[in-house]
Amino acid sequence: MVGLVVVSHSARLAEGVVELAAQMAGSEVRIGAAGGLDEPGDALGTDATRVLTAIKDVWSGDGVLVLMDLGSAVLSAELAVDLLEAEQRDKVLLTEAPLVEGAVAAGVAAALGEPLESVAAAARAGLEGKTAQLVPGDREGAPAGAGHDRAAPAGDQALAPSGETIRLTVRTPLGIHARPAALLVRTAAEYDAVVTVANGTLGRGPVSARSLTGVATLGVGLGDELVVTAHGPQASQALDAIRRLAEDSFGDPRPDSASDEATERIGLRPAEDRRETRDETDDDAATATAEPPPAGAVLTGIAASPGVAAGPACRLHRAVPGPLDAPAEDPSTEWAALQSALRAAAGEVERSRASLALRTREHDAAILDAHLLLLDDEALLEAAREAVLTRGEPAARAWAEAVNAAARDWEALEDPYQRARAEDLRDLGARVLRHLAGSEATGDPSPEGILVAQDLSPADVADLDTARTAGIALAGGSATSHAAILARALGVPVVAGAGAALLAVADGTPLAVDGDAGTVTVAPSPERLAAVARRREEQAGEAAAAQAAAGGPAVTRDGLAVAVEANIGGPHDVPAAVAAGADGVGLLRTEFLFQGAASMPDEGEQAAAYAAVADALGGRPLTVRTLDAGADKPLPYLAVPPEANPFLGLRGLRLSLARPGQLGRQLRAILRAAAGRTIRVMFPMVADVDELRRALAVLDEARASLTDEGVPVPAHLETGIMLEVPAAALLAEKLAPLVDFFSVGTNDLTQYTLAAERGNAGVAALFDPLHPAVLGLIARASAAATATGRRLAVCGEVAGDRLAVPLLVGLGVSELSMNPVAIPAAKQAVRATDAGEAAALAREALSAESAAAVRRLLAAAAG
Amino acid sequence: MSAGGAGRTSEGAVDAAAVTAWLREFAADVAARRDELTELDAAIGDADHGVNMDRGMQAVMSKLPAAAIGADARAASEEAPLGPLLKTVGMTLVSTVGGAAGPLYGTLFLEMGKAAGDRAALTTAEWAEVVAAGVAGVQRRGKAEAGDKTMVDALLPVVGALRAAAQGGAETSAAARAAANAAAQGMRATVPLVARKGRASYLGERSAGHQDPGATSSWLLLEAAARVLGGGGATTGTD
Repeated sequence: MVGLVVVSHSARLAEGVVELAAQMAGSEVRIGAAGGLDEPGDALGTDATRVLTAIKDVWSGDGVLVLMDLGSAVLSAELAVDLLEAEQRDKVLLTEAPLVEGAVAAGVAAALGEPLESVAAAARAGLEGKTAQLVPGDREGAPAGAGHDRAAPAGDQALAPSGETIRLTVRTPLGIHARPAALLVRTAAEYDAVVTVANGTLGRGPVSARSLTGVATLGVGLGDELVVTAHGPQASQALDAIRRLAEDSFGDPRPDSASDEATERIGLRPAEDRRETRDETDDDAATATAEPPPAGAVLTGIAASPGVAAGPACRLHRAVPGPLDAPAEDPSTEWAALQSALRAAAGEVERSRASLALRTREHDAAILDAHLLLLDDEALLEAAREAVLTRGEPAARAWAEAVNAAARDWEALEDPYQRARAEDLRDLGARVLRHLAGSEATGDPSPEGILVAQDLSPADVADLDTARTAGIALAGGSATSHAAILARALGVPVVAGAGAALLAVADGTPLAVDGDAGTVTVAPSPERLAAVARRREEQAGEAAAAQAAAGGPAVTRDGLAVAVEANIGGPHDVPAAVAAGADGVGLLRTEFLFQGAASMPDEGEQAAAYAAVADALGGRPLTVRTLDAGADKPLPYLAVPPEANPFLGLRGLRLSLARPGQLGRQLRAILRAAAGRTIRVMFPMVADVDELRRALAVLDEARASLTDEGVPVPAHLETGIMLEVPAAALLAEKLAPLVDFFSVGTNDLTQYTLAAERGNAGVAALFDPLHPAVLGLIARASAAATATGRRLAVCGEVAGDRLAVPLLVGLGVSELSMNPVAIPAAKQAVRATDAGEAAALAREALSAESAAAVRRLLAAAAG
Repeated sequence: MSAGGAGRTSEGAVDAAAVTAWLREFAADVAARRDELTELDAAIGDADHGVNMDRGMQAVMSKLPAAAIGADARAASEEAPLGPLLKTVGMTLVSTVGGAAGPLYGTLFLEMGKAAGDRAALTTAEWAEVVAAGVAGVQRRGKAEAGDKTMVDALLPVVGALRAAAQGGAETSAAARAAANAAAQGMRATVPLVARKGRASYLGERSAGHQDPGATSSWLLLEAAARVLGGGGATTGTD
């Protein structure tokens, strides 16, 4: 039996890992710990002689697998092997496997009597279970990551699914996690039978029941159906044993009411809810198993595109991407296949764009240009190219992994707009995979009625015929996705996030979608249908009026001008902003320059990019926010160590001040671009006066150095700060004299004020920028700004909320900056406002006791 | 400076007494410059090089008397082999330094010990080859090349300098001085380099502008050798 040695800088860590591995491997496997130094005070470090001793202690003729942590552990382990006798040396393998997962997987494989090479392979595959569980996209099916596809290789698929099959419902509270999986693997291995397991609920597998990593990637959760198939002489006995194991809850405590509650508390949801996160291709399975909502049921979601519509439920039918693990042809053939699939996908998107351009204005169709650019992304292609040409991977797998890696980078970002780009990328990725597999993605006519889906891509929406598809109801999705933006441009009402129950609605069931209230009514009454029809007519008139007036100024009824500006993520957003009637850009996120770049862009590149955006705005003001990165928005070359609580960590201006050279470079670039242009600069995440002073000192230094070099700079660069931290709002009187303007970032300000993260469903109800506590902070900043003659802007999402516009005007806000598509309606809202009445409304809102009370107040004021 | 080793090399170029004196000198230098080494490491690593090397060399010192006395005792009757002495030093460093320097310096001495074998004293040319074997071991262990900003940058020039000195018929003292100078040059050359190995490589470009701590301790090792071997006395190389 193969022995294991665990090498770590820490003696306690090594012993802990040994303990974990032994728990699953059983007592027969010999596992040795070689951690720390034989020095007083538990010195951290590695000692080759300890490794040598441990190898000798666990030695058997079958060999030893050595796992280690980092740095000197590797060197010490190698040295220890050199110190062995020659005949032993050949039977010791050092593996790069993850220490904990690798040791556990290797322990189980060793207990099964596997040879050294197999034990090492099991260790190296140790992360797959975790990858499948944690890496976004994996759980959603396609395109699958490494963990998923390796879990179900062709060999496993080939394991005959004939033979006897049993279906078990998993009652283990935490599902088939590592320990139950190990028990399952050991049990299956005891019999002379080929046993495979699959997750019937999520449609994963089958995988060999002898593979711990394979079983782990099935992601079997509480309530999931485990499909176990066995054939061979002892098939029945194996199945009986596994059934007993399941009845015994895989050795875990059985769920009782108390543990159910615990399961609930730690955020593990039963299978029913988890379907929400699955890919649309699984809809049919969900439809078959979930109860459809009754007639008259109202499903509440997010209002993602305004308007109302009614019609029968209908669905899109998509081809499924091909398998990822088709064996690789020679690399140049694979690369050529990928390139041709990319071209085919691009051609498809271009056709969609052309169709869209006929029905919307140019800037809406331009959203698909961004989509096309993703297909052309150098970093993405480079990653795929390297995998295909250098590592000889099959094209599908190389592409899927490159897309996943890039999408994960986007998903790591805080900004929902940027996170939504990850969805676009995954959709495109799947489109390319379908072409790689040789299937055409389109062809079906636009479905007639209310389109029901888990989520949609922008291209899906672009292909819709709005005469046939009147509205969209999504179980998942978001209001900030490109799909939602396009739907708004096409005037198709959308409700997103209506929940899994929506997917159980049968095709043809009448649905009413209310994209203003964010509700989907199942089988609505005739009265409701009539009301929907009336509202549709009214809204068509309003939207036309807003769009027609978008280019004009927004002035309140009593003559107060409010600048309505755009939040943009880069030069590509400028045409849309201008077309929407933006009076300027209130927030340019400069992260676009830094993400995806392998190294920090130099000053010249930055200056050119800022100047290009300003020039495209044709004299309208441009507000440039300095880099807003941190552990929550990591950049590859900014080496921010992971933080336990990134939102309270080194982010925004804090990070910039920790890297003054980089901040100085960006400020020099902004100053250079600002010469002869209307450019302002804004610092994110200011919490304290000293921080601002230090940032201003860097700015002064940048200006002085440019002046010394004879580079022209503007006489005065308008400088502002984001008010995102409550402390800054509370210090507004101290901060105001140092700046020209404040810009309230309502998203972060709300999160920090209410200690509630928007993305956390458990506290999302608390997260409301119209909460009186948040409004109170804005009012305080407004008072300080007014007293010192500074401007007050709002650049959070609430700025584009038509209902909130009068309130913000009443609080003294003179600039509203928002997603471009919201601009025409926001301008109309300003024009409908009386500043005097708005001030009274604001006073009333400030004395309200809850966000709900404020919203009631606003709804009443809006009539 | 401790000149304990000076003048002890009258018999052979490099013998057990000289090596013992050299290690004492090096241990004293590491102790004296412990904080300096740690500061260098703090800039681009995990701030433990000085502490680790000092711990290792103190452990070597606590073993040396036995090894050295053994050598002296044998020297009185027969010639004390260098191999076991160098290997003892290597094994001690391996199990006491803790960081990457443990296996690396450990390998340096283990390989030198292997190459020295039973010989009790080495000529300059032999010494050059023994050192070359040690440095080759360090390279194998750490998989570092010249220019990776590691101790190899200080050690590789040493091999060249020793061999050149030996070929030119230089005495051991002159060869040791040339070796130390070469190490100093190699060490200083690490300053502008971007680290490609070890923890400093995580810093990427930001590791440039700092002197590599491992190269610095390697220079100290060669500098100690130069002082001990070059301190005077006849180094005629006859044995």
